Amino acid sequence: MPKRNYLGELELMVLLALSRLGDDAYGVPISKELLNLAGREVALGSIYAALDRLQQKGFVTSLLGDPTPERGGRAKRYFRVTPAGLRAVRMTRTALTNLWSGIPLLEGRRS
Amino acid sequence: MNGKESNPPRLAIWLMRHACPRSNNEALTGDLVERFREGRSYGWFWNQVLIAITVGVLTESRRHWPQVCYAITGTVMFTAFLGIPIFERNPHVLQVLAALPALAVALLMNCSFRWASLLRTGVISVALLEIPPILLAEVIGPHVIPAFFWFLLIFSTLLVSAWLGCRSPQNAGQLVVKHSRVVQRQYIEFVRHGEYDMKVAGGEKLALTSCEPMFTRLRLALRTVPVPARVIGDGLVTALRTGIDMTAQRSRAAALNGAKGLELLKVKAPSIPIQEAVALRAEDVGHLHGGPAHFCLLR
Repeated sequence: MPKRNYLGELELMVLLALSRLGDDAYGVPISKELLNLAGREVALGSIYAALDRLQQKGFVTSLLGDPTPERGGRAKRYFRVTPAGLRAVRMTRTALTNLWSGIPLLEGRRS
Repeated sequence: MNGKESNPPRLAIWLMRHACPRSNNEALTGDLVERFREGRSYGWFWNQVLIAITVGVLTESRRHWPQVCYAITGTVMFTAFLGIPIFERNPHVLQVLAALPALAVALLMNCSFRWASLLRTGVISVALLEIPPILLAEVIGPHVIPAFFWFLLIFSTLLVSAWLGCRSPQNAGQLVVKHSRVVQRQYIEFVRHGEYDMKVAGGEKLALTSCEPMFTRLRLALRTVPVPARVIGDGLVTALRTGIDMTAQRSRAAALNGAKGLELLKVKAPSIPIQEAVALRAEDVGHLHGGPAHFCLLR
């Protein structure tokens, strides 16, 4: 069975948020980014599930940070987009753009 | 928010620790605590915890779908066979035997068919399925127990059996890879630190101590004195390799100088600190305890 490497909607949004955040990307900033830019309040558990899937696909890597007192002594897990992840985002954008074009109803709304 | 209010509910934290998958448990709990201390409410925290647990359970079920498939199919067959009179004499064993093909199909679909897993799951299923019906039938009586409760009980029992008996090949592969990387890393560190840190006090006695004692816990050679030596803060694997009487000054035991020219490889193994912390610490290993005696006298 071929491996599924395409992105779901939440996975795509999380990858884009990760790309914007750079090196300081962990659960809390990602959720704030999704809330501020996409208007979605996504549960942290769902974000981590999406990150787990992305990591299994090889689209992100993670690194455990140092424990901090404001988190009750728990470490942050920082995520970073891999080159494969960036390629997947570009491919998804191309696919969506191709699907988007040539729809008169949507083009009429845009104008 | 005062000190008491800034602490999230303990029960929720406990649930997070025990009911969520381990991979991102600490990071997720830390994120929730951080957001809570930014001013989120108890209701928000509980909501997030319940969502995290639900998502975690669904993710794990998806990851271990052959076991879930076995449990569902086995439960359906088990409860169906309960209504047939011919199986009344010894229903449990026959129903488990009927559930075994379901496991075989599930494992075949997952390309992970293993006779050992199949047999192990079958044995565990027979063992576990004998316990709850007997206990419940003795205590309450078989006809009083609702059918849904039976279904739930059998399903959970079969799921536990499959979980105990089977292991997905993906996880097993990851374990093997991790183990090999840990061993490789430990060997490299062993070689790196072991060769330059030897120190023998009293160089004039070196000739006498060149051959003996050859083995750990044997006696000193004649006319030699014990050199205060120890392995400081070492892990289990390296400590096991300090079988000869060469001593270390810093962090690792010294042995096998022939490995001096090995090229050191870069290995990323994040589990090394955990392994070393869990392993037995070889503080003050006493090779020279006991009264002095010549090795030849022991032969």
